[in-house]
Amino acid sequence: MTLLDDETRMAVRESVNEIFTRGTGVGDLRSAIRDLGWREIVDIDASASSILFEAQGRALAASSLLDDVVLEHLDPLLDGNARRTVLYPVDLSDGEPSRDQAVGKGIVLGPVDNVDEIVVVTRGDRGVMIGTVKVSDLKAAPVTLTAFDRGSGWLAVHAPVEAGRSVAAGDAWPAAIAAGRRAIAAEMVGVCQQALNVAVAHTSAREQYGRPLASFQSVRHTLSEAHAAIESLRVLLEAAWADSLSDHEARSAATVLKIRAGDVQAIVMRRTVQVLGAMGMTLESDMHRFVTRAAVLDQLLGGYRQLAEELGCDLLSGVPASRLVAI
Amino acid sequence: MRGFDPNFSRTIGERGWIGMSWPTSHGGGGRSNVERLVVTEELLRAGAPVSAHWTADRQIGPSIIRLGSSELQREFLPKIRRAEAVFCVGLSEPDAGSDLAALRTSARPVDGGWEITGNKAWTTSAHLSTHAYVLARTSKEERKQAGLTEFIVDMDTPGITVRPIIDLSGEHHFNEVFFDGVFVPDGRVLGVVGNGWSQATDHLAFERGGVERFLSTYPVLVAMIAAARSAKDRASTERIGALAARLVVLRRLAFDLAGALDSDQAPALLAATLKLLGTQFEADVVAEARYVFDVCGTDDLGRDLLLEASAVVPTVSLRGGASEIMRTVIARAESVA
Repeated sequence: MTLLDDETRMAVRESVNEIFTRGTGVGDLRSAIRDLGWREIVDIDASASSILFEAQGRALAASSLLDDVVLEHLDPLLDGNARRTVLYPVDLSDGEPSRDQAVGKGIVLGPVDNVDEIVVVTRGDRGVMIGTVKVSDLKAAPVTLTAFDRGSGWLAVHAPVEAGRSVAAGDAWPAAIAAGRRAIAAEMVGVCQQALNVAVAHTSAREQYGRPLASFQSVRHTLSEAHAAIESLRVLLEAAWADSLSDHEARSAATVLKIRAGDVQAIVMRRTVQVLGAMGMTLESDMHRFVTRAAVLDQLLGGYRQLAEELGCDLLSGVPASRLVAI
Repeated sequence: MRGFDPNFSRTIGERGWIGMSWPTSHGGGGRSNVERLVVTEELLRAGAPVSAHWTADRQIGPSIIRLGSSELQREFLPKIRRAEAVFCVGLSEPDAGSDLAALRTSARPVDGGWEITGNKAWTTSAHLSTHAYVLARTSKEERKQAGLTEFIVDMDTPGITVRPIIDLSGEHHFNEVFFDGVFVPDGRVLGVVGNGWSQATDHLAFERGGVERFLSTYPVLVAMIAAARSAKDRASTERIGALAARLVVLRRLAFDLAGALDSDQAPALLAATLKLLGTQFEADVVAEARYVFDVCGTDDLGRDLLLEASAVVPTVSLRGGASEIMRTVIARAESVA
């Protein structure tokens, strides 16, 4: 895999940002990205998908683009060319499907109107299984989740898979999760970066004691900490895409990345909310949208605390740490 | 704790627990602030809905006792004790947050009193209050801290408009309050005209040193302990131990503060320290509760408490003086010492 050169990367980033800030509907989003020549870009440099997801994060856009990333690994296991969306398992905090095989409960990222099938991941005696449920067969209507992050457009779905309609996932599911985690982490970089941008703009404009808040050392230190945290995530995101990683190492890297992403959003949001002062406490400011979006993204495909515990358990039980950074 | 329940407050008043540390000569309980601490701790531990009388009891009443004329004392102290007068605090403005002395609400002298014009922001419970404490500028001096005056204003005076500010959880607690030529009689000046800043500084010490600065999430802590008991998780155990140790410190600070009030001091430094540490503690209680509930499980009550606390806790390091200001108060005091 080659890499895009810096100039091309920047041009792609600008075009993608422009698409997202235009605020198109999901269908138009997909065609706008396709028209950009996205397929070719990603063929040259798979890590370019980070650009797409970071832009989505910055714009606080809601879409089911993540499905494309996950389905790239799962579609080959499934028959036919149906339009599909993924049911993300959420009953276990690590993003993995539970052992309750018959009950496909989870989250889909957008409306199921333009989709034929829901791809459901379950766990049985034979390990992780991938199955499909026709949207037309759903007994209960999907329920929009609005209690916390009002803008996500996510829906809770109950899609029990019929016996015999699943196949063993094999390596495809861990690969899909790893790819999904890289995309989510990139989106969280975007959300955090934009939250920081808003905080910098606010503290630069707002004055107290006859000078901008941003001229006070404590505000500078606070925002520097947020910046450093975001940079640490960017660096890790880049490392997770490294060519030199084996499949196994890439999966470990994606897990570590997801853990750090959750930690970073907690660090950043506490600081950006604080420097916004009273404004950050209201619905009038946009800051709450960044806070809630980052928090729910953390919960997708494994919350950071749960994944951290699993990593800790692995290390303590003698699983060798992956060599993720070659020095 | 945020619960606004006038009936509950009235019951508390009937027990003599509002104004319990005021001198008996003012109809108070004549108890010490330490004794008041005992009662307020228990009210908050139980998550009691105290907000209808809390501000009046905590700071308005004490300010009126220290600085009010005998008319003001006669008019308001009994009403506060009976939870009939509900007070909000008009300090912050859109352009005067941390830099409070930059406030622009002004009071010009008129026949028999003053006319107040300007607007306050972030005024908690203004929409539920019968009266407001208002800090306004009565004269322009060289130092912006000079020329400020404290007023007690009836909320039903013509010219007052209250507009809601909706917070992150979609709830209505904060308000903007607009004063358009609002008449306030001379008798409603608190203390000395032009001396409002140093008076307000003392007032803020009462506000910042309240036990709610570290006990408003106590019910969450209790739910955490119940959760940790039901499952063996060493990390949960350790985190609860660490929080408990910090709670001891905070209670000791509150105890020392009560003692200082009993010696008739207005301990601004101690109050700033308590608020800084207390609000950090509360943020950590919520963060740790997320972990403990996740790992050990919890019931609907625990989940509801956590959800409510999560919406409130980001504000505690800002309301009543941002943590940054608390650090400045501490740093200045320490560098002078």
